[in-house]
Formats: sequence, C-alpha cells, structure tokens
Amino acid sequence: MTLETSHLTDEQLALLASEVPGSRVREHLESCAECRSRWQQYVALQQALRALPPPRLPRDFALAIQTAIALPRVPWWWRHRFSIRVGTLLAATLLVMLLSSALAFPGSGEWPTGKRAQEQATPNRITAVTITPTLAEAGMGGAAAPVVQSAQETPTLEGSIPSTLARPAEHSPAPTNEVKSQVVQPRDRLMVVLFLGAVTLLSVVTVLGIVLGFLLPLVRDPQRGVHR
Amino acid sequence: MESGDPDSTLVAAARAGDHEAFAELVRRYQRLVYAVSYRLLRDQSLAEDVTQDAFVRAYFSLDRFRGTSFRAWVLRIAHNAALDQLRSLARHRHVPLEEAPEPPEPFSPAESVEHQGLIAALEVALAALPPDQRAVVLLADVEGLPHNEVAEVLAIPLGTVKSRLARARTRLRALLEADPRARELLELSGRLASGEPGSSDLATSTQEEERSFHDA
Repeated sequence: MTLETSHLTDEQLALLASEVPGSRVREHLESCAECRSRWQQYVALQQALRALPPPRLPRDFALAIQTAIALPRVPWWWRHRFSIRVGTLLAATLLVMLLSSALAFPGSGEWPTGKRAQEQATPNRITAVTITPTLAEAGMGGAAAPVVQSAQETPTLEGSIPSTLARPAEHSPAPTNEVKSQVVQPRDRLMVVLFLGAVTLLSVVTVLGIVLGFLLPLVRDPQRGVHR
Repeated sequence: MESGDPDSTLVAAARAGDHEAFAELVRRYQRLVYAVSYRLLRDQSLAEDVTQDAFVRAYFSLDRFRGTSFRAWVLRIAHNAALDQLRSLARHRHVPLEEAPEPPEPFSPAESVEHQGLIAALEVALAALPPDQRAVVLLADVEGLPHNEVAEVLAIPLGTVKSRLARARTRLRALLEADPRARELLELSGRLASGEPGSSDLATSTQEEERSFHDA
C-alpha cells in the first residue's frame, strides 16, 4: 500500500489512537483530511473511554478479606466429609454384598454365571451329571459308586434325583471334553482374581472412608475453635 | 517477581504472614479490580463476589506468584473468575433483553446531563462488545494499562492484544456513530480534524474538557 494514494484502514487508524505515528503515517495524516478526521475520532473515543468515571466502590474489601484470611484453613477432608461418608457407605454396602455372595456359594470362590449358576442351584445333580461320567471315563467307575451312593442318601427337595442318578445316561448327554472343560476354566480364575481384587479395594476404601469421613471430623473438628 | 514491581515489598511481607501488608495491597487495587469486574459482568453483586474472591485466592496463592506485577496477577485472577461467571450466566439465565432490569447507576451524579448521556452511550457500547474485546478495551483504554501488561493479564500475545484493541475500537466507533448521545463527540473531533481553529491539538482540548467536566 502506498500511503500517498490509498487511505489507512480503520483498524490501522484505531490502533494509531494510542500510538505515536511514524513519519510516513504522520505525513499521510497531514495530507489526507479523510484519514485525519477518522484518526481524530479514534483519539477522541480513546480519551473519552479513559475519562470514564470508575464505578463507585460498594464497600471496603480490605476489611472483609482480612477477616476471611484470618480464619483457619479448613482441611480437604472436612470440606468433602459428606461425599466421603456417602462413598464409604456405598463401598461398605458393596463389600457386604460381595462377601455375602461368596458365603452363599461356598467352596467355589467364583461368581456364578450362565449354566454354572444353574448347576450350582442344584448341587446334587451336578455331582451326578458331571463327576460320575468323568470318573468313569478315567477308568475309575468302581470308585465313583460311593459318590453316587452318598448322593442318593442325601435328602433333596427334588424327587427326581434318585432316578437321575440311577440312569445317568438316559437323562444326560454323554460326557464330553466340553463338559470337563467347564469344571476348571481360566475365566473362572480371572473371576476369582477380580473378586479378591474388588474385595481388597472396597475394604481399603471403606477403612479410609471411616477414618477420613467419620473419625477425623469427630476428633479434629476445625470449626471448634471458630465457634468459641 | 522482579524488583521493579512497586508492590514487591508488600508482597514479600504478605508472604511472610503480614495481614496488614496484604490489606494495603487490597486497598491499592480494589477499585481497579472492582471496576474491571463490574464492567465485564454488568452486575454489582457478582462484581463484588468476583473482587473479593480474587483477593482471597491471591492471598492463598501468594507462594505460587511468579509474575512480574502483582496488579497484573490479581487482575488476571479476577478476569478469569469474571469469565467463569459470564459462562455460567450464559448457561443458566435467559432473560430477554426488553425484560432485563436496568443495571444500578454506580456513577457519581455530579456530571452534567450531556456528559451523563455520553457516559451512558459509552457504557452501552462497551457492554455490546464481545467479552474478549471488552476486556482489552477496559484494561488498555479505560484503565490505561500498558499493552504488555494487558497481554500478561489476559495471557495472550502482544500482537493479539493490538488486533483485538483495534477491532474493538472500530466497533465502538460504529456503535457510537449510531447513538445520538455520542454523535457529538465524534462530530466534534471530525470538525476539529478538518482544519478548524484549535484542531492541531485535539487531545489537549479533549483533556481540558474532561478536566472541567470532572471538576464540575
């Protein structure tokens, strides 16, 4: 842009309102009435803004802030004590539920899923259906007999169990490797690990929550000094 | 913190736990912080909250203060808090413009009617600017902070400050041209610039006018 032939843009002029113009710009402003007029408007605007009276101060903030900073700083566990308490109760509830479920299925140590859950609901039938053919397949048919016997002697709610035990082949499919693989699965181990991990985590959260959310606020109330 | 900061002694004393030193810093800048907050928010009680909150936060963060100027630092805290408030207002309040209550008049009633009109026109034009441009104009033009300090307050490069300032002034001029209360200001400056007697020093004449207006 040559300053002699073209006008300055509004943004250039606006910025020049608070800056000392260079020699070339100054020459242009002296020779171009239009640019000079607009520039003067920006100067007037800027000076009118500078002269705006400040809003009246509603109060002295120094006093209020002195009072605020004189108060003892409240620790984080006191500020969040209600959230901590709610979290602790939730963690404790989950922990109780997990432990109850473990007690409801003793010995398995696993969370029942799908077919296994159904089987666990009728433990006698599992013994008859899964263990007996497995042992027979392994050439231990004679050894399996006492197991079947004891299962027959066990009083059950279902009257069909003895007949099931007497004729396992009629009611259940032939034992396969698939059935065997359901007894011990890597996924079950993973479930056990997850279960133990969850119990550990929830125990730690519960204990910490009890300490931070209940005991500490009880023993070291930071507002006790303020209320005095 | 640089030793050139006029507040460095007070800041050091406040860091050492001297409440009175910090109170002196508050007295020094409360008017400035409140004015910027008020003009950003257009709400007296919100501006009060932001001002108080800014100083309290500044006090509790004094150990982390590494800036070059306490004034810029506390203004930055207040500006961020005011922006948070503006965002919150934009989310939760949808009052149509015609139903919005008039803001309380916070200014001295001593000015003449003409100047009150001009002041009102300027305030309305300022309020019409987008928040980023308004902040730059408030700090640079209304409060007279140097551009590099404005850049520090807003955490933006110096070039951005200048471009925002130029855009904001252009927009303000357009808004004021449409407002009969402020047209006289622009017409007067245009007449003076076009070669009428006394046009050589508009700044002086404007400043004299302002001085007499404030003395009145």
